[in-house]
Amino acid sequence: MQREERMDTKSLKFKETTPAELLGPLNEVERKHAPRALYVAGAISLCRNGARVSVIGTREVSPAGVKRTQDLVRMLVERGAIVVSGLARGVDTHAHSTAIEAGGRTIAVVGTPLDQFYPRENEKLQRKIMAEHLAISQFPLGSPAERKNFAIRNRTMALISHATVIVEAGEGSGTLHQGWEALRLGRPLFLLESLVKRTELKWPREMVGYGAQVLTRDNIDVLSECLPQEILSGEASALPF
Amino acid sequence: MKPLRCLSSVRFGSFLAYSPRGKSADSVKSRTMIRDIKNVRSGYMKRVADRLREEMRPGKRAEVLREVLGNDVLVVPCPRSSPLVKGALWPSKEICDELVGHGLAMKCAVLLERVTAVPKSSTSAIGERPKPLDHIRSMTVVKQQELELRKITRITIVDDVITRGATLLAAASILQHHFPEAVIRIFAVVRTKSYDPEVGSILDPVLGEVSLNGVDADRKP
Repeated sequence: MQREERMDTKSLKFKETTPAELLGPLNEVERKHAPRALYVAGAISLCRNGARVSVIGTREVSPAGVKRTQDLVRMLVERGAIVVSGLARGVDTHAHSTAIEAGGRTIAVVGTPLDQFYPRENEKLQRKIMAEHLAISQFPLGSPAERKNFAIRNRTMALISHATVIVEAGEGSGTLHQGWEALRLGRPLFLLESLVKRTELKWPREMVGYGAQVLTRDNIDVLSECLPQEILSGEASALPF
Repeated sequence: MKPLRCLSSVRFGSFLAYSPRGKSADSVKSRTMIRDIKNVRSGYMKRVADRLREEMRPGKRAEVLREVLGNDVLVVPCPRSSPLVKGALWPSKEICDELVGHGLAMKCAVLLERVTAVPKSSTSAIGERPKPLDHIRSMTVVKQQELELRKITRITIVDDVITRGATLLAAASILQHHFPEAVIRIFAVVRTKSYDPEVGSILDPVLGEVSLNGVDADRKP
């Protein structure tokens, strides 16, 4: 891991909150891996309104994977979804950048404290997201960055997202932590068809066996149909009868 | 033991109604409600069970649901469409626990499990939705539980939502096969109103029947 660079935080406003404050009351399964605190910079309203979809995958993304990420993100933005990703190299970076370029909204769930940039080349993107969209970390400002935090972050990203799409990932990829967590939380998990066709990979078939769905260009509406259609609130819903 | 066959019909009860596509205020509210139930939003199902218990009192609208619920009924959560990862959210199990906690069932037992995934009905094209026989082939009885519960006379399979009832008819068929003396029923908190454009009243307790129609399941009402 590269040495991270700390930012001058004077110009940015950070807020400490909790998952329940941000997302509404959590059930027992959600509480199991939920962090005690979250640190946020940007528009908290992005966690109160609209459907949030994680678009995630490998840092070493192929050119075809970049194209697939961009196509998927544009489709999600057209449907009003908020694109969530982890601000890592590869798929994550393309997911955030494409969402912004397409005029959409994006949430970065980072594996470092918010006063650090990792990778360093994403400093500009991270600053833009913190100023105009929303960045979330479960690691306190000033705390050290550790490799294990990225897997922990992936579980938090599953919690924040109504659905998760894995674009491209090899065996042992950190992305898989989020896939399994989404299944545990009972949230829709989609794998691009191109992943399932890769016979050398075992994990896509394992996840499909536990309820992950295969996303193709022909069934893309399945993804939008499983997202909440109405305005969401962080408050507990009243019984409507 | 006789070979396992799909039952020709099974009685069901449901408490609430929801519209997948209606535009009225109640239809929209019903979709928010279904999301809160399916996601096991903290405290939500407890409030639904509070209201169910109240509405099942003599003379109230949901009194008819005593045919499927009661303090002598063993409730069995309906399996999800795929095997569960360890510790996964299981809305039907949460509902069963609330029913027991509210005195609307005697005990909850995990008697059925999914061993192979089937396509989700909610996201499959109409002709491609799994049929009752597909469900029967993909589910099994948890044997240890079966032996301990031989003397149970009323068993109700519980799910969050009933649409056609294919999964529930299959689950009922498996349990009837293993518990031939028991009266098997179905309870779903919510029934889908697929054929009506709007939900009408969300609070809409009904008793009805899921039957085998050709190779598929059919629910009335």
